[in-house]
Amino acid sequence: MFVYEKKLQYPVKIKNPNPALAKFIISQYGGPDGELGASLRYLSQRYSMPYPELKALLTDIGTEELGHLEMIGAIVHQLTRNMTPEEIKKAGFETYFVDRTAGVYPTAASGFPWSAASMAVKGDVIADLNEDLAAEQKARVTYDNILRLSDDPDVNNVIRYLREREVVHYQRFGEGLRRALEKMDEKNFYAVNPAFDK
Amino acid sequence: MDRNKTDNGYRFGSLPKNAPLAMAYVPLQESVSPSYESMEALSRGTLFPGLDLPLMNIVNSELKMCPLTEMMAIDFVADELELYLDTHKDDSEAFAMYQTFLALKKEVRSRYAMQFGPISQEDMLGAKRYCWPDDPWPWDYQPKMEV
Repeated sequence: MFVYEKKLQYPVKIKNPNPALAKFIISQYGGPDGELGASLRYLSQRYSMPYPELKALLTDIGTEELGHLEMIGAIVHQLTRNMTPEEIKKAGFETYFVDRTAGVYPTAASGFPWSAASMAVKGDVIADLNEDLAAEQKARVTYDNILRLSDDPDVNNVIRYLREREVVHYQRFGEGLRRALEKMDEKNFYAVNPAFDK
Repeated sequence: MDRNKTDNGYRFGSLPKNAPLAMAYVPLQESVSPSYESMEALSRGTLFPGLDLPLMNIVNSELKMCPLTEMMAIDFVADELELYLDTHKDDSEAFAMYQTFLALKKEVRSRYAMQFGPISQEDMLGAKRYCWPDDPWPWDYQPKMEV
């Protein structure tokens, strides 16, 4: 089961509200490479993972991603506090505001609502871990792009932190794949899918 | 860590000597040392200098030490070591470090909860009243973040 801890993984303290930034940072909440998809990808893939180390890794990284979802939610919440209708219009935030007010909704920056189609669970050890490696790279690039667009140091410190976590997770998934291979037939890694064939 | 260290060995990991074709290989990280101290680790987003690869080499300045960031930093190191151990379960140096941080975490956590309020359900055991719903919640803007 899951237990809540009443704290963030890394502090979020945004001095200046700025809905123009919230407009694209929301993509890491509910966009194609965002934290919601990341947590659901790993927490769903773990059921078909046959090896204990991989069950642990997917559980632990999936749990951390839920903490990152909360941090992105906190950034969006703080960037959109105390907005006036004039500020909303000036920031181009009215397309979000009209549907969600200052609520935090899992959507891509493009306006497309979060979709399970943006993540995958294949039920195959090699395919799922390769998916995870790619997913960490895509999330890293999204954070790169956010850093290219944002000039608020309070926001960017948190984004740099989250970006670095993607690099670490990439390393761990790569090691996880190595650990899985150690248990598989090295003459032909594709002879069976150990998540299905006995 | 020693910044003047010219040996960059920690940036490299091991690959299999003979790697079967048609497979992706990430080098294995060989050790938990060198590692950053906890506040620097939290500020940078990793405990490990070898994995610290920032965009355009711009790094976060170190977070200010306060009871909240002190607790976050220790929790962070424990979590970072947990991920490392998931793929290195026989690394006894890492396991010893992990247990040291778990002990530290317990101590710092109960001290923090006593002073500033509960982080988790078990912190309510020592509370004088039901203060779990009390503000601030973690996502709210707090101009003063000493707590």
